[in-house]
Amino acid sequence: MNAILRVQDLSKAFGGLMAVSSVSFEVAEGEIFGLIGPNGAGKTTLFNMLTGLCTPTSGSVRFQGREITGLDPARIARMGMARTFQNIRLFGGLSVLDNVRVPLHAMARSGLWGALAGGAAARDKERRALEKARELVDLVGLSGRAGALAASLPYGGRRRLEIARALALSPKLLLLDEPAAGLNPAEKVELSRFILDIRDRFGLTVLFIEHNVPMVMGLCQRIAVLNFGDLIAVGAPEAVQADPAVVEAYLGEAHA
Amino acid sequence: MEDFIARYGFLFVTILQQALLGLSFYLPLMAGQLSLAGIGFYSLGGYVAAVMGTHPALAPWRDSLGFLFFPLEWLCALALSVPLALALGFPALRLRGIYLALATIAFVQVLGVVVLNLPLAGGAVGIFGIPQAFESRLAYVWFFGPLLALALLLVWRVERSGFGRMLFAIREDELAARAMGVAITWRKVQAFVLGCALAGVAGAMSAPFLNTWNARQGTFDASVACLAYVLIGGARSKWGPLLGAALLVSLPEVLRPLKDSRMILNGLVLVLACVYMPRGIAGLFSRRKGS
Amino acid sequence: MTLAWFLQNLLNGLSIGSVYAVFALGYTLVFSILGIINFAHGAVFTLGAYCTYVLAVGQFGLNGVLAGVSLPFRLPFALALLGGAVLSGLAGVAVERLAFRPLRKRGADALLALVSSLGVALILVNLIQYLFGAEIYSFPADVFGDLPAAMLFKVGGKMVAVRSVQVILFGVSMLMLAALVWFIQFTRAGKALRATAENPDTASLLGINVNLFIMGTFFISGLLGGMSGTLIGVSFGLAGPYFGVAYGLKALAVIVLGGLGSIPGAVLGGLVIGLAEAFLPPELSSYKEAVAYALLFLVLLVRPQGLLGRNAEQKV
Repeated sequence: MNAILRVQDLSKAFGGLMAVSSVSFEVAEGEIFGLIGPNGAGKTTLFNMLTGLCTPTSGSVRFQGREITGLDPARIARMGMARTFQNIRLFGGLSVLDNVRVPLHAMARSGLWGALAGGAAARDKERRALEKARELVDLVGLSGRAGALAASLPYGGRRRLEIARALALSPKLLLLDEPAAGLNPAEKVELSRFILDIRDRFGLTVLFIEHNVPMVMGLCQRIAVLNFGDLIAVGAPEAVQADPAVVEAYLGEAHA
Repeated sequence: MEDFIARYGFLFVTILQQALLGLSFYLPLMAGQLSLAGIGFYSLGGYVAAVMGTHPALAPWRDSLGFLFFPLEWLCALALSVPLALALGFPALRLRGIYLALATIAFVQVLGVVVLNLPLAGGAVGIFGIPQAFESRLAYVWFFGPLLALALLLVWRVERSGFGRMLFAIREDELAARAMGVAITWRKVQAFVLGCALAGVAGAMSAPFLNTWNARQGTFDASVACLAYVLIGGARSKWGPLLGAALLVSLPEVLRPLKDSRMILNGLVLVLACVYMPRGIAGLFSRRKGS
Repeated sequence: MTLAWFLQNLLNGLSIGSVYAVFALGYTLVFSILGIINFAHGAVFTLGAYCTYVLAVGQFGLNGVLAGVSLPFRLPFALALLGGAVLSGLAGVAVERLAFRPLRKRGADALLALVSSLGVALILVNLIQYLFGAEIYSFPADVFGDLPAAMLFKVGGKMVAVRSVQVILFGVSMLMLAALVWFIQFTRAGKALRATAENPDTASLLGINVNLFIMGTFFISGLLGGMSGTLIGVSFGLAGPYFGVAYGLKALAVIVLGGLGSIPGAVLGGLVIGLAEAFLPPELSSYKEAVAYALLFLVLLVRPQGLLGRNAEQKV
């Protein structure tokens, strides 16, 4: 497979506690890959290590063939790995449109000189960023509220905005941390459709953490199961579902 | 009218001048960074202008350049401030919250001691007899006024730019900003350097106005006063420093009849403003808005 | 570099350092329970010195509203010190009620608490100026009664001077420290205080009156502040109502060096800075005031959590 992400023996210890233990897996380009496991299994910690927010105790992460272990998160983001957060971290005091513009400015390296002196080049950058931002806001159905404060959006809107913002980084790999949390069944279906849509439209690979088993089963080509920091299974959903270790640790209870 | 100008002209110019200094505190605050270093640069800039204005070795330059000597002073202050701010900013801005504030307080204190020990700076007495740029106090209004307007214009441009939005993003949620590709330390440093540079130039412009310059310009008390302008005026608005300075500079004057109690009332105003106007004066006028 | 030189500087450093430590502990206590720096601490420090002076000398100065007023009594130093400290403790409580509690009730930003405490400091210092006047107050030479001014020891051919005031500074500081540690570690109230510092919500669920404990903390903090202010005032004189500001800032260097919120850290930090200032070579003596801040800066660059502080990881 053409692996866009290669994780090898990745571990994170907090004092005596192994939050993530020697996890290894690969994600193929264009895949929708699910990461599941009970609470506290280390999923978000894994995400944090992939995106650079947390330095691994040991192991390596290779993104598009390049070693990115322990790099600055801002650099990793600009390299094409974008994420959303479990607890939604928007720029609440900024408008919907501005939230999406920020990553665009970061990518375009909008500088201080541009702001002060403001030549044609700087104005051009601004214009293009604004256009792209409007497109993305439109894509997630928030164009009617483009000027509203992010903090004023309803829950579903905030989730969608966070995804739009992540897409502004023109990522190759999109990491979603429990994107369906708090959504009603209709919205969950909508989200699944949306993920497929953007995967095809932008040629993305999607890696997402999720508790909702049917959603994961239906959407993912492959899934990995974490339990207490250990990777206990990885493979096609049906195979993983039948894996006795998984059944015992997690799926068995949800399935029953 | 003459009387009014004589009494309140100085006050009015002081408000404008302090607002300019206050803006230097506002700039790093746009990125959520509380820095009190600006006052150190203000002091430094003032000394640059003071020394350049009075040192005998530079007399021929002063004579030949005439009024143009003053912009030269500002440029020299800028040339000194920017590298120093960069050198200070990179290590300091990796610190968070109160640690950054304390580091900047420490910088100001150390600078104060160093300056006191520099014979060039006139020791504890400082430098006096700095040549005036203009004849009358009122003339300075036409100087600081447009200058403040220009500074506000520049800040407005920054606020509306991509760079400004990144600063606000850092203020809103630094971690998320980082995850969205913003080079947070570099952006914070840029805001910091801009603020310090503004403070340095403000200092160089203020020394001729005040005629004398000494270490009192760069004390902790002075930085507290500046911080108070920004917070009371509204920490989230570029108008904050002007509004805050207008209130806090004029208050002791307005209360002058109360003689000794006026500083007590000044302190009381600070406390009451913190409790009842947490968003500052500017916050009373606007709902929270996006950019 | 003789033994005498070393001992003299060691003595000087420890005696002033111990006062810095006690003063800094006032900050530490408030920081550990509220997570903020009380910038009015320096003002309370000043107040303590002035109150003790008046109680010990029985007379106000020549300026100020209370000029020339005499008290009908003069207290021996120990009692005056205690009296001044208690009054400072009460001032500390007043600071909390005025500057911090209204903001806590409104869930305000920590930054505002900072400015608010600065406002209260302004009020307090100017109140002191209003009442006591702006002149220099010096404790009379006989304030300790019959104790000699200094004792001289001969060490290896050189003289080492032990000033009585230094012994008192060190002794009182150590006593206060011991009392504080005993209180916090071994009494019920102290344990409740630690619980409140650790988690106010849980503490209140356990029936602890959080507001009362916060007030108590400010009382102790003020007590420590006032006491250290007196000790410094006795050593160096009261150079006007603003003399506490510089010490107030220096004590910030102490707590950062030792680690914000750490009691042993404050002690270590105070002693380190006291010793650093004492051992400063005479050529650099005019830079003495910069020593504490230079150390502060260095610590923040190299180890921001301080010598004894704990590193806190950020949760995502």
